[in-house]
Amino acid sequence: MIQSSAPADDSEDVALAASGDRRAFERLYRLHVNRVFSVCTRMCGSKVRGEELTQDVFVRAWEKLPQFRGEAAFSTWIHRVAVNIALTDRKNEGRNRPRLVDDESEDGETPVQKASVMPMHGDRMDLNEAIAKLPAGARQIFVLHDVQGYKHEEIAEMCGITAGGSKAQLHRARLLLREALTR
Amino acid sequence: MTDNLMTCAQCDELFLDFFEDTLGEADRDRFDNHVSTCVRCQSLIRDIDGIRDQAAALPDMIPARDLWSGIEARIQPQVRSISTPRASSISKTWLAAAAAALIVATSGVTYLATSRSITSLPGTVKPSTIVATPQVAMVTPEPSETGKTSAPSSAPVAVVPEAEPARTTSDPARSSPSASLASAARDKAPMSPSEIAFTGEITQLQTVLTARRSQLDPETVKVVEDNLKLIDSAVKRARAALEKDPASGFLTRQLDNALQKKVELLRTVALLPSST
Repeated sequence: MIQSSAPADDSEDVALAASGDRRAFERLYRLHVNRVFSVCTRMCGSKVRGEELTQDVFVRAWEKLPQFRGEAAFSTWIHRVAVNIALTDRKNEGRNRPRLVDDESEDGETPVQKASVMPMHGDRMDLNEAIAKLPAGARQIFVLHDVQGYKHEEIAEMCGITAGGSKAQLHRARLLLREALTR
Repeated sequence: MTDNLMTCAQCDELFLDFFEDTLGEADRDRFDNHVSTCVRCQSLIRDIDGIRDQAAALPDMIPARDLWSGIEARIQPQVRSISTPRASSISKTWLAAAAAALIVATSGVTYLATSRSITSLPGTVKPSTIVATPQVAMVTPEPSETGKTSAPSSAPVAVVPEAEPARTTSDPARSSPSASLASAARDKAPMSPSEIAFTGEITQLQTVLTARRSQLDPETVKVVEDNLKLIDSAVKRARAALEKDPASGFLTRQLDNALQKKVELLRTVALLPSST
């Protein structure tokens, strides 16, 4: 996967936080919150839910930090925690809510088709909005692959699907986004 | 749009592998030939490349509010009083038993100390000064037990026979000043069973110390009194702190420790040989 920004030297704060120092953990939070929030929000398609998931990520990170061995950068580790929590959230959501056929709404429109009627505020904002309106499965694969830089094999393992399934979902997501953004 | 080798529909089926760069050599040549002449497919490739580039360069999003307070509240350990679990885990029965055992033990030791000292000082100890002690106040709330006072507790009675009636009464008018003081202290803050026992022992031993004062070396008396002042200061501080935090197990132990030291010091003094 790609790194969206150069990792800061947070090893000292990681060690302090692992030993229970909340102030050190708060510094880690300040350093990584935007990236974690971005992953969570784009994966779930909602800023409000993204905020809740971001809090879940840091609480989980605090609980698991004593087990963090430092084999990977903290930024990579917490990013993976964020992805796992976002994926679990979708699974739970799927269990709690009857899933619509092919992620379409009851009126037959895909979320991207609905997104197309939303006001556009610029290219990048358009893309964020269009991503948010993708069907959940396609959205998560697109975010993981094209935004976060995971490989299909990694995505397949995380999502419990095949690499071919991941490629198909990605292609579908790209076509839906193109349709929404060029309309 | 079609060409000699491939239609757009056929090309669409290959887009997935094209973007994954997994097209076979033969398919790749046919695909490239079609795209080179097809505006529709060129547009599609250009748009998707643009989306990929934009997606990879998307900046981080910023939460609309500070999420730390919510996180901090969830990672904050629950604050529990260190004394609460002790209080709940030790039953009142056990506390009462422990207090009774302490009373028996301390009274026994004090009995030995006072009997040795007092018997060597005929006429120097007034019965009334021993009769009413805080120890009496401790046993009087249970009238049914007053007649069953253990031997060590009734030990001073052997020295002062008329003390027995005073022991079994709860009439404040018959209490000595020291008992009244203890009573007043209880009005301020309830005394623990161990504190009541210690106070009783201390009162008795202090009586002995007063009686033996003239027999002891003045330097020794001064050292003892200086030490007693230090201990009394510690007791006072512990009591004051306990009034503010009555549930503190730590403060209770501090107070007990200080009282225990005072008892030990007074016992030592009671058993000291007279100066010659």
